[in-house]
Amino acid sequence: MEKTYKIQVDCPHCAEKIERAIEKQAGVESVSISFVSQKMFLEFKDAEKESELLSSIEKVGKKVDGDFRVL
Amino acid sequence: MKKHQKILLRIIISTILIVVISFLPIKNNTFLGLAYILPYLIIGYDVLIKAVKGIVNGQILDENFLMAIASVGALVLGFIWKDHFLEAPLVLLFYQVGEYFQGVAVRKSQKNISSLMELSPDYAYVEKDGEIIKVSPEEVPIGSIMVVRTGEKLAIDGVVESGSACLSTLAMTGESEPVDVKEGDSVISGSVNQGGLIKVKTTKLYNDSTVAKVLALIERALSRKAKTEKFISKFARFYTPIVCSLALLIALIPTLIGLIFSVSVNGLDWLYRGLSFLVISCPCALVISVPLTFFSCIGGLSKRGVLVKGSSHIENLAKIKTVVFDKTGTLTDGKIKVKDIYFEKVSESEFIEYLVLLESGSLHPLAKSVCEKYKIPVDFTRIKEYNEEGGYGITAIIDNDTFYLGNLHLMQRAGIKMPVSLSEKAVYLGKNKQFIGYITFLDSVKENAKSSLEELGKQGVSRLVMLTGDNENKAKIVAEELGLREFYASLLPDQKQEILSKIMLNEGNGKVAFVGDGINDAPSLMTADVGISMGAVGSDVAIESSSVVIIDDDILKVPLAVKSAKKCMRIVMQNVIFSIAIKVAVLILSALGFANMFLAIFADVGVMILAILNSFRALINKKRGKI
Repeated sequence: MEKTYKIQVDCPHCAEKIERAIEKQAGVESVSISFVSQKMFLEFKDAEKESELLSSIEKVGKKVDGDFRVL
Repeated sequence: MKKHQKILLRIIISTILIVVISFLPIKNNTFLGLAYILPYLIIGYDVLIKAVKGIVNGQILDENFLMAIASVGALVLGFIWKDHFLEAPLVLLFYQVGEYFQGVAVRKSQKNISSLMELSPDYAYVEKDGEIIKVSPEEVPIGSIMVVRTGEKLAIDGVVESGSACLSTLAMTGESEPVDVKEGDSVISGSVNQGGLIKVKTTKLYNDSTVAKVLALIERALSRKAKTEKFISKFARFYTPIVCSLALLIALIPTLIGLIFSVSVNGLDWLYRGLSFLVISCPCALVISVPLTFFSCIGGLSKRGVLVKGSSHIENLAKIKTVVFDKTGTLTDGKIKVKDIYFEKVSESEFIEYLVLLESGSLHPLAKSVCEKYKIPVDFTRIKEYNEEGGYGITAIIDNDTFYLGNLHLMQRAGIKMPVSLSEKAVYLGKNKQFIGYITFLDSVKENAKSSLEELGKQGVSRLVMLTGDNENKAKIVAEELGLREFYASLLPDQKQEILSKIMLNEGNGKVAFVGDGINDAPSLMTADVGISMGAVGSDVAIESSSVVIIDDDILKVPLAVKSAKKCMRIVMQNVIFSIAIKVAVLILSALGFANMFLAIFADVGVMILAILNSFRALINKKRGKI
């Protein structure tokens, strides 16, 4: 399952860090975050657990950048 | 109030406050320090809050935290040592200016893409049971009749069923000349009707239409990061910890040495130098400007109808040394058409009759195009002793006259005197010993093919190769016309891929591009370092297998893509070298005590702003010469 999400991320450096943090999440196959386009390209295993995965992604993202949000 | 407006307001208010305070006649050091705390908090309260949150979340090398340490340090030093008050609000002020600029850059580049997004029409007018209803494009089934009036955008690809209109494909292909369409013409979504009324029968679903595909492609482009981008993220990963460790060493080691060897060392001065290091510990200039440059380049090219599927392909495009073309559909349009006829001593109808009689028996492509143009019934019993020779042409007897139809060699051999000499591709007709006319053909080579090859040469492409399934002879004609030295003829699609692989093996460091029409050469498009497909945006296979998709079939877009990619890489390199050089210089100067914290932040933010501005140059494709 591959999907593109609009996100809010405040600094380019944090985008990199968040990307690395999300990579470690269970169920994530690959992720790429673009600060410039404010987008997250996510490839994940289980389509049914999408919302669960997104909330855990938001959680780890927020740890790096408090303003991180999946829109 | 929006977030960026809020930051701007804070920047303005704190700047005014800082200026006012610096002119106030405050003599007491402590009062002065307390006065500066007001603008400091206005400009930096969020940085301080984020810094605290960062520590709670275990993010020690968070940039907010580092900025907070540096500025709080400056304030504390102001109170216990000497006047560093001004630097505290200034550091955060410039930091916020940098943040603001980053926001501007992001919004600006998103705007560039969203102007493309505007291509996507929100609705379509569809005829249903004799009524015209407004529906969302996703809901239109194939074969529906869509009504497009003046000023409206086409939502879905299709064929004009009735009416005529003038369509602009500017937004899709970058082609500024509008085209007139009438019944039977196929039209692509994203075109704007500039005048007229057409009914279009849809041939695709919205999601398979050109517009939807183009948008999906661009959206995805940024997820395929270039090597340079990956290098920068790696660099960033090490840069901050290294600079922070250096800061710690500089702040502490001299004091420790002083304590151990009991020499007098100004520990506060070294602490200050260490704090200045923290100010430049963010690799922001690099981390933002490199992807931004790629993004600008991709955006700029898409405006001209060239879609690049990822930053990584920009990198490869810039290194192309060899371009391999599939002939048909790229260098030639695959169609040979009769351009003109000329006749003397016979009437037009007689002349055409002779032509059709003679050409009907031939399988030569030129003969076929003649028969296609003049579909008239003829009596084949009139023709005798028909003989066709490769390299010459046709000889036959019609009604007891000997006819010669072929090239100049045939005319010479038959002893026919030629009153004309044509430089274009032509076939001559002789009756007995007399010249009676000729046919010229529209060249099958695309108008811009030759200049495109020349432009590629100018962009550093040193080897140009043509592959074709056509026979040697036909291939040679095209190759000669284009000035191509290397070509391979009579190839099957898998043989094309084989030859391409061989070329790639010999290539060394340079990259090899393959240009095809994307319909039957998917294997080659995938094999090449850069697969470029032309005029086939409707085909899934073409989009899947190529790295660059040229929406129309303008071959000049190939050198344009290379040129633009090269410019992009130059800007990336400038930004990388410039940013690193300035950072290293400032680090050295502050370690030696020549640079204060103010200079450090000024240089840091300044470099970032310059790098961002430089990135935007990648958007511009100024037309010079042909491209």
